[in-house]
Amino acid sequence: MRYKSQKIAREYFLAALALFLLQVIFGILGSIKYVWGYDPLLNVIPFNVARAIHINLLVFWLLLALMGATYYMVADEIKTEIYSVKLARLQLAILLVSGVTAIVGYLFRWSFGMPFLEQPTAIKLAIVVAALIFLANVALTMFTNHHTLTRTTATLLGGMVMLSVMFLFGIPFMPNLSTQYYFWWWVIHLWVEGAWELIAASLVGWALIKVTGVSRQRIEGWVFAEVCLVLLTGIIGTGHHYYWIGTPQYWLWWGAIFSAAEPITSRPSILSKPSACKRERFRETSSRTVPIWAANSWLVRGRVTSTPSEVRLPDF
Amino acid sequence: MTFVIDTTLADGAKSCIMPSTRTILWATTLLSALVFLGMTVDSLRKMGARTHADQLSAQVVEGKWVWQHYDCNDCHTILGIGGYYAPDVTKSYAIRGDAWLRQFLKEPGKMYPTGRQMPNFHLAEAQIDSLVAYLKWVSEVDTNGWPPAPQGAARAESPGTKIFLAQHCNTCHSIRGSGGTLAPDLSREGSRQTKDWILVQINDPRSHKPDSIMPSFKRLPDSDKEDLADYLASLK
Repeated sequence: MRYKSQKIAREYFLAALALFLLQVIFGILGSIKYVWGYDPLLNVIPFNVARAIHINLLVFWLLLALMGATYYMVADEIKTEIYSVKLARLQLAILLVSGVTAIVGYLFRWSFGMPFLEQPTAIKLAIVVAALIFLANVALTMFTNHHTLTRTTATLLGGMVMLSVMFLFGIPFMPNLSTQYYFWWWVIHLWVEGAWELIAASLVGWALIKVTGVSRQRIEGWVFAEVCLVLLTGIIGTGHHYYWIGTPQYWLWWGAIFSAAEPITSRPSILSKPSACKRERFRETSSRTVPIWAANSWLVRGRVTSTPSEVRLPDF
Repeated sequence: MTFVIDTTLADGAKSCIMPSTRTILWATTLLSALVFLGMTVDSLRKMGARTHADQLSAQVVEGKWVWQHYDCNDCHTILGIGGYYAPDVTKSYAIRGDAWLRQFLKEPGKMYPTGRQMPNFHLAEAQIDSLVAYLKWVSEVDTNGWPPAPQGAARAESPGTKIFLAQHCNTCHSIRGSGGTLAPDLSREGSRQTKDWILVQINDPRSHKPDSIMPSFKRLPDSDKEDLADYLASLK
């Protein structure tokens, strides 16, 4: 840890850990209900409440962990202290208070009633405020020293902005359930198969730069290829949720084809295998190869290599 | 599609991907986002008719809010999404009908006395009205044929069988090895009871057995009760 303010990540991590433990407890409770027909807690914590709490904790701890990791990584990448540790703490407090309020609220039937987005609107707005504080804090940290703004950090910021923007589509109450679900997937799908992938790609890329010895240029090239392929397949891939919710029939084709292509995007992350890194380092110094095989295997060869051992970087 | 590949990479100073490849990736990604937005506009336009949006009365919308307020979706599945703990209600209205749903919502425990239970939310009459109106609206959404034909429809041979399955009598009763075990087996009901006895049982189970837990199906239309009794009396 080179910068004092990176310590804020520790608070985020501990909060995430606590929420994760709670998630496991409620998960066990839910699974007991699932297996065991008789439910003595039927009128205290029915299955829907246990599930709402369980999945909300999942989302909350994941977000906290991603945000904490962002603070840690951005300081390191930009080579500066976080713009404001106070804001980072304030944001954490808002998220924790709103998260705990939501969870306790579910016990008293205070719910918006859309899976994963059960938080009542007032709490969603508090989350938006926290997200805005977060984005401002990260952006201000980045642009105070923009000469060192890297592609990895830019990708991270892009993922966080996408995450925040998509959340907005989960806030309004729409009279038509089909429309409500159409945009509900903009949060659920475009988080998991969009924004989170961007964030994960940049965090993993940064870690690889730090630990593997493969050059930044090369890894950032991979991250770029991965991010583009994620979005290229993942955005229209949302269509695999639009088969039977009152949407037109053409989604069956579009959704199927694009979501079938989605797994391709996970190929660049094969670099996280030690053997692949070793090979990359070797290739970097010994030959003039171009590690965009992810794009290559898909666009040129028209197929996806199926096992890591099959992965061969093309020589041009 | 050709890629311009930089083969002078050894110095490591240049990026792995040359601008042309980069541009192609950017452009196709952006294009996919635009295509998605275009399809969204088209879908939203078509969904009005597919979901009968003109029938979204104030009562239906109120019912949607009842559905959300009680967080039904974290147990039940609707339009294929939800908790997968309790039945998919997308076509519940079409399968069960008005009377069944009302009876169930009033006293969920009575309908399924064993196994997984739904809590009794003590819904007000107006809430039940709007929830049922909402489920009716949902059942009419064009879902490209999902979920497949109502459960048991393929097996329904006579009007009586249809009612037997639609009212979920087989939750408790079984016929020839298929159904629940909570209540008597009805495989040979016709040789044990008369049609009249069965009709009385359907209307008022407690007249035969004061502590019976079978709900009354008095609210079924008379013709349905006739068909059901005919069917059961035919089982010999």
